[in-house]
Amino acid sequence: MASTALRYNPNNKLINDDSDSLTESREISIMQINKLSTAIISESNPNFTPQLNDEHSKMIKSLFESGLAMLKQKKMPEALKNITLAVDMAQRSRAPYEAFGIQLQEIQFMLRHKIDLSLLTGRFLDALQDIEFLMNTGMAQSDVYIRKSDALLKLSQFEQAKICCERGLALHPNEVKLKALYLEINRRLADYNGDI
Amino acid sequence: MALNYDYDETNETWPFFLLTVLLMIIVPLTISQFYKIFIKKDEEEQLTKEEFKKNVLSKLNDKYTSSDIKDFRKKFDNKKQSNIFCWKNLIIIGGWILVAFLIQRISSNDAIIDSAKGIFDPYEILGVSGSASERDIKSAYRKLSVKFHPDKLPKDLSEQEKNSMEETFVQITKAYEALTDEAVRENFLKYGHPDGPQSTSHGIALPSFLIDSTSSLILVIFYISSFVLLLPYFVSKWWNKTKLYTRNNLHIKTAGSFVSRLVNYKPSQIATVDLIIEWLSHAEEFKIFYPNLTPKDFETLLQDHIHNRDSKINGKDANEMKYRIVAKCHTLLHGFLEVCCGFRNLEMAIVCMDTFKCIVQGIPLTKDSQIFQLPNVNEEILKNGSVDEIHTLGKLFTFSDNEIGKILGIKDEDRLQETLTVASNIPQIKLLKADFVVPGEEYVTPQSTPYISIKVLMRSAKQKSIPVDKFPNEMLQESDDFEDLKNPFASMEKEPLMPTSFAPRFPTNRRNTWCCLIALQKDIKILQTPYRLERLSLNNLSKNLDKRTVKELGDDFNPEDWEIGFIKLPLGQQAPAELGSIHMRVVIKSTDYFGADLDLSMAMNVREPPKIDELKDDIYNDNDSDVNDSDDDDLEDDSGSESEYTDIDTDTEAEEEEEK
Repeated sequence: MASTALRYNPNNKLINDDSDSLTESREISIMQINKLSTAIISESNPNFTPQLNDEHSKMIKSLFESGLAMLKQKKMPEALKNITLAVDMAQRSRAPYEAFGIQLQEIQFMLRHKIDLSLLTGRFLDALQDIEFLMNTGMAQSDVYIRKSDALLKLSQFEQAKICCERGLALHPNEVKLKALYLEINRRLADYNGDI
Repeated sequence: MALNYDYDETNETWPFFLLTVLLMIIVPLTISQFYKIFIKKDEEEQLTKEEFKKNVLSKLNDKYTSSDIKDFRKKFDNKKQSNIFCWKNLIIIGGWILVAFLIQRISSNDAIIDSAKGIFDPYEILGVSGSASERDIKSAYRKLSVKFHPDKLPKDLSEQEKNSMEETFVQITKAYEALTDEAVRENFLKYGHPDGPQSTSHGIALPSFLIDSTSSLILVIFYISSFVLLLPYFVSKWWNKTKLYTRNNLHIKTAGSFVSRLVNYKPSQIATVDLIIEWLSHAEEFKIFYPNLTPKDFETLLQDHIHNRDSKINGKDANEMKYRIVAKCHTLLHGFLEVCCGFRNLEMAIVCMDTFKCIVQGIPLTKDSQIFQLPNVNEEILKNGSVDEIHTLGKLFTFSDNEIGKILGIKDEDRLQETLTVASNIPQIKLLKADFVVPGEEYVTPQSTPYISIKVLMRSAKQKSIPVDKFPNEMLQESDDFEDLKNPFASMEKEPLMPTSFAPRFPTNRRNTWCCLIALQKDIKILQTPYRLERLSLNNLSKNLDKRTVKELGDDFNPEDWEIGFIKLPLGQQAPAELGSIHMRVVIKSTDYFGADLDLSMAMNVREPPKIDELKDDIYNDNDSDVNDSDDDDLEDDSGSESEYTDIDTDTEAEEEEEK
């Protein structure tokens, strides 16, 4: 790193880089450092242990539950909105040092609901993004693959759907739903390629 | 040790020495050059001529190539092809002239002839052949001695004649002794002379005129310059070259930048063609071509190429620069693919291959890239006009020719036909069968060395899809010839080379290659370096099986008419020691065409080797059930065994470079 334009602002305790050589990855790194330092500075208890912030947990939980309540009343868009808010909050408001294992479980649980709702309301692209996020957190259950293949199928990305479905089948060879989906994808793919 | 060296005063040795050295260099050089000029050229010409006859794509490729690119090709081809007056030929001609001169000198040098006379050959003196028996030798000796014996000489000879006669008689006697008397014979065999060792002189085979005071300075300078200046210069040049470029001909700095980008690559970043182009534009190769331009310029040039725009840099026409840069991308992308495989990053490798296609065809990656790679397509009409979802060549061919003309916006009948020819000649791969094969085994056994065997049908998008079950099983069997068992990959070498691709926007003529990547399904990580498939018969593409006229495959369908392509991919690792199945994803991506890829999932089922001995079977029968149980455990416990498999270090140049 040749540039020396990295500057520390003693007033707000943040670093910034205003040189020309600022790359995207550098910017992301700076943002992450800043986020962590703000979170630590704002912590009032100096001997804190990395536990979950109860206040945040409560808010997230209540938002999520209100979403589920909406779902029961069949108000899909509202339910999706609340759950999305809950997920966003879990991602944003939590300090980076809070216990990661619990955070991860929480977010995985909520994301799965969000994905289902997105698929139900026809927001396949959003769903796909969330599924990929979920997969990156290490989820490899068969239902994740089913949902991803389904979303890709709905988006007419048949080749991708086939690849995803094959991978799901490789990891879960006995999943009936995936097998059915695989047949469907192959049929649609043949049509897409004009082979029927 | 003598302090005074003898030099070649009479010029009898050094011409031979020089002649030997010269011939050692010139003869092989001449032969290789002859081969290159006459035989290889003929072959190449024939190959391209045949290709033009056979392959319509090559012809159309030529037709649709713009004159700009043709000029560029000529300019850069000429450099290589003017081989009549190249330095190699000059060396050969000069060398032969020198040889002729030396031979002339040797034959006219009396000293050499004299010394050749001095050689003692008893057979010649006696006038018998080398294989003559003792009796023959004796009779020849008797005859000659009668003639030359000093007592029997005629009286009227002069003194001089007498002396020479006497000498001849001595020679004859010596020769006879050399062939009959044991002691003399030994002398002759050992020293080449019946009298024992002759006087020999050791010297340096340098002509004396080089050692004379004036020219000795030149000689010294020559020695010094060759050992102190020239030798180190050439060695360092060679060494720098090998050190500067990796095995894939990638500049070491470029490879380093690829590696550092992949190290810093965040999963949150999305790999796209644009990203790869940005990475490519930092290549050192481009900087060597055009030191004044910045990576930003190179990126613009590459993007111009993909979006089919004319390039201008600082208001000047930059098309030639663009072509040079684009042509270099071939090496860069192959190198980058290798680096991706070193990092085992399948996603990146796939995007790399997509970028390859974009650059070769000169079109951006969109849903309709398959259609846009055809010539004459009107972008506006295709985007606005179509009612149905038509994104693939296969779908396009479900419509009649006229309708296709309307869909693609081609009014001219000839042009439409050319477009259709291109479309129907782009190869597509249909998977027939894929297995893991261990030569000489029925199935994959623990720790065996399997290879991947994929049987495919190369077909045209125009042809009706032929179901796999139309092909009898025998056609899809692995050959069990001894030769094939010994080297299963040899049969792939016999396939014909891929014809010239239809890529009129690419600055050089090129042939399609399929890059085969193998990854684990578990973590979609690449297992080994890519395998490049350059030979595969495309004869099927010309078969007439139009999907618009043939609705059903009737009884007249003969599977024997179709050629089945065998793709055999070596696996870099052994099968694991544990039983169970391992799922792999095989991605076969074309470098040149959109829609010519294959992506499949395969399971390697590792099973217990068959029992050889009945008796053994009986003894272990009780345990057998246990083995079966553990089999099942293994199946469930798959993840454990797989992870071990994953941990095997894949060879990676990239990692090595990283360490450097």
